[in-house]
Amino acid sequence: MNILVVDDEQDVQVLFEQRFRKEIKTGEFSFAFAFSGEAALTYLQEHEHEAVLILSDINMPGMSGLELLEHIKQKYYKPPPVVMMITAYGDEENFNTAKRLGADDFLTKPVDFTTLKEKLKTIH
Amino acid sequence: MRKVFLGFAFLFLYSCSEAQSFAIERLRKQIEEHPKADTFRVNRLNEICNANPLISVAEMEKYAAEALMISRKLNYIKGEAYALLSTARVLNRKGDKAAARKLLQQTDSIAKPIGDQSLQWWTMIRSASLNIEGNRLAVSETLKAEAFAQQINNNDFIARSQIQISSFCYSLGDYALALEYGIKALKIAETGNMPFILYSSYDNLSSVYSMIGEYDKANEYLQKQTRLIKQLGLGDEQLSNLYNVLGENARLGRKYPKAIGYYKQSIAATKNGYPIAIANSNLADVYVNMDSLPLAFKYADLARAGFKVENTTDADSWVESILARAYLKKNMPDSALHYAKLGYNNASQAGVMEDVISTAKSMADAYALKNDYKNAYLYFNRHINSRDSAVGAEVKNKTTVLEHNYEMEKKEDQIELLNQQKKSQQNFLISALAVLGLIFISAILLLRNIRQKQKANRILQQQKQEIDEKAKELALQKDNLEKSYNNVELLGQIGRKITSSLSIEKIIGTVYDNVNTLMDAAVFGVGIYHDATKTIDFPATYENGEALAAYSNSIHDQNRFAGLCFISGKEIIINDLSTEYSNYLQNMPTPIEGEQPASLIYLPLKVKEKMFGVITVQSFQKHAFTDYHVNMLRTIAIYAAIGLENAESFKKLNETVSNLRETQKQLIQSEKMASLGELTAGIAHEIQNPLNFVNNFSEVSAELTKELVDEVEHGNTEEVKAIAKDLIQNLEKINHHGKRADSIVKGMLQHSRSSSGQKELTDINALAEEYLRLSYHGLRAKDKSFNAKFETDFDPFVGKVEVIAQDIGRVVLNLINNAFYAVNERKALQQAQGEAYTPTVIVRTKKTTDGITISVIDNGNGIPKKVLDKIFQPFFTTKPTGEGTGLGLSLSYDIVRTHGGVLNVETLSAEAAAQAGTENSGTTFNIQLPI
Repeated sequence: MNILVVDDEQDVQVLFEQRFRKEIKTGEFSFAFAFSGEAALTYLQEHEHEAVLILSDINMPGMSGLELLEHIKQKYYKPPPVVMMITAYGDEENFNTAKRLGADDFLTKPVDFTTLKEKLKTIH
Repeated sequence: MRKVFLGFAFLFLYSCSEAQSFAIERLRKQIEEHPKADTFRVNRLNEICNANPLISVAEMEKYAAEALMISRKLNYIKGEAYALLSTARVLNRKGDKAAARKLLQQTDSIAKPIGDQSLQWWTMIRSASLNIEGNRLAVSETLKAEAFAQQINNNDFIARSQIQISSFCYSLGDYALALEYGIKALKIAETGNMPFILYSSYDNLSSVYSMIGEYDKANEYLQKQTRLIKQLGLGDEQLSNLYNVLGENARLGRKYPKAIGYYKQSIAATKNGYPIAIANSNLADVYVNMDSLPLAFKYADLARAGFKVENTTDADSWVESILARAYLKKNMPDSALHYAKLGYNNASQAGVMEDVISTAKSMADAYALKNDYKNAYLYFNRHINSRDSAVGAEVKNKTTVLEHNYEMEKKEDQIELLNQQKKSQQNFLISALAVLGLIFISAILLLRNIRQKQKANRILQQQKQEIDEKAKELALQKDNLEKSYNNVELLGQIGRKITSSLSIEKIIGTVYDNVNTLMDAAVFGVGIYHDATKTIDFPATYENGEALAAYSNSIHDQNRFAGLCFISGKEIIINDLSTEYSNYLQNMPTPIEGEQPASLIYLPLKVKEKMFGVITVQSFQKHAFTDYHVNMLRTIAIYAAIGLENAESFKKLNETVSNLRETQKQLIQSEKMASLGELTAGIAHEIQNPLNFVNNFSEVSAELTKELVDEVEHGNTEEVKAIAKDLIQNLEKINHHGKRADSIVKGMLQHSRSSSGQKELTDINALAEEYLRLSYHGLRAKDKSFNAKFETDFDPFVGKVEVIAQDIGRVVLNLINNAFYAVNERKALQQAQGEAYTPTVIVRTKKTTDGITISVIDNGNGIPKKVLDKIFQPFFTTKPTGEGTGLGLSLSYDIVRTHGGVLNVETLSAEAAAQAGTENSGTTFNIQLPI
């Protein structure tokens, strides 16, 4: 399964690669990274249908995660990929907006990788 | 200032600037809509010339000429006669009384043969008006017109005649008759539908009552006038004038809060600058009387600006007299003198008695403060003389009115009595009872008469007594002034020396030196009262030129002269202590320090009834002090007390200043802590990210280490190398994110510490970015529903600049916080109206030719014009109480200025944006720093 991670903190790449070290080795998951909403859109246009699942941070400078979600779910891709939103604030408004825009799941920082792995495996 | 508004009654004689009423409007409209040259038009033209209030001379002349022309063409005799009447009125107003009289003789000769009684009355009333002002003939001729009106039984004419009589009497200063005829007209006006007569009689009555000092009564009638003004359509300016007179009466009756209310109504009623300026000046006077000096100066400035725009000098002396009194109260004799002089000269030239009295008094007071007693004496005399003549006139007015009223009541009572007697004769059967009743009634009436007479007498007597007392008091003041003037030169010098010092020790020393030159001061001491200990302390007492040790007396020790003198506030003068001490004390006092004196003086030191202590001079000789010495010492005591008061004020001032400095420091600190509070939440979030990485990378590393062990056991060298490489990378990451958290915490500490004041090269873009994130996350953490877009637009050429980093950081943070606050406010508003809106804050940096600019841009509601010039003032805030200190922008402004830079603001308020038809409201703050 191809997963696109969107976050403005570049170190998430190293972190994900190590956390899913085994899964990457076995080819169970493959990861791509984008460090802004805009970069994520470019990636999706260039690699149509490749990303099955998108994990996106909400608070990013420039295009926010929610705007990205809106683009993905309403404007471009059919069938839309599964999108999970990640935020540091577990607030109602973001949660509701994300749900309304079609987010499939909602995670709160700090991300618990054990839970994340389980979630990814069930989708898989 | 009242002169401009005296007497609406005068409208019968003079016109006001813009005559208007519903009646006049209606006539103007009819004339306009009916251009046909017929009798209808003639009648309307004549009516408008007779209407109230008076139209302008030019307008009247035009209408009268046309009426004359048309009626002559039509051979319309009656119309021609009325047109001649109007022409006579025009000529009178232009000052050609002889020509006017000729025309009125003509109308009279027309009226009599055709038996037109109205025309006859009009001719009479106009003839009476021809008499020059101040001529009694005007009254007697109008009385004839009234008699004629009675004869033809025309109530309207009777009342109009009476109003004119009342007005003439008022202008002659015959307030008693003015009152009588005003009341007569009022009685008629109340019976019929005659609103204008009613209004005029109220006006005459209120004017008379103002003149005799019965301000409450005057205001009763003025209130009634204000209620009539709408019905008559007399316009806003007239209403504004009425409120001003109401205010004046309240002011003169010392009802200041009421007066303020009326003046404000006066201002609200009109758009005309002149009455507004008048009301502002009167407000200034009231605030001076109430000791609210900042408000007094504010309104005086407004009034001056207003009069300047109106290009009038009428009110100069009035405003100057107010300013002089205000500066006196502020204890600024030079400024007071400046304005008092100007005012005195202007008022003398224009003959404004009220201002002459006031400014002369201010000049006397100011000269006295400056120790120039010669001039003080001169102007005090001028003040007294002008005041006496004014007060004399008022008392005379009041007395004649009182006497007149008394006579009137007596006559009415007699008439009543006669009526009663008549009735009793008509019916014999009940006459016995009636007689009894009559005796009873007459007894009561007589008793009432006697009582009223007694009362009137008592009032008159009282007023006479008051005048006598005043005269006595003035004579005494004059005496005292003359006496003190003899010693003024010497004492003036001493006084200047004493009062110029602000240290208590120095004052005592100076006083001692001077007392020594004037009298035998073998023992000399100044006792200063201390409220905390309730003692009188003698810090330095001299005996034969030697300073004695300091000592103190309890003020409650009644066997001490010091305490006795202080508590009673009375002087103690003893020529022979061994025999006279028992007049004051129970026992012979023993000196605390030094020898027993033989004669002594104790004087209280007081300023404006406040006791500061006592001064004493003692001698070892009996009868060492004469009246002359006592008088000199009294004067010195006053100077000493003033000196001590100055010293105390100076001490208090110093304390206040240092308190203020301390408070300012605390405030700056609390503002720092407040912005720190806003930061904390942002910082917590910012730390969260690096901490997550630290935790995650260390967890992963632990897993990797286990794998590493496995791989080593399997001898898988390649894999071992790869894992080791990852491990090194992870450790670097942990280290990096640990440092990141560390620098955030350091930044926070730095923000809370007072500024080191050291400028250092600072990466401006990094600083702006850091505070933008901190602010955003801080607000997010505090209010989870908060959300806004933020963007950066950084110019890489800005680079590093020498600034005090935490200070500039504080400014940037403050501006960003404000920007987020502004967009959030607009968001709430737009959401409530269901409109789409993206709250956005942009931080932009820019390298300029001679420096850099940091801009914080928001698309909030902008800053309304009325608060724009206040935003940099300390403690100004638009946030609800408790949410903002009101110091943020003020401190920011100071910080940027100490960097040699400029903090400015560009804004488009929502209101202005709506007017311009755009939604792009918002604010940009620019920090411009030189390099």
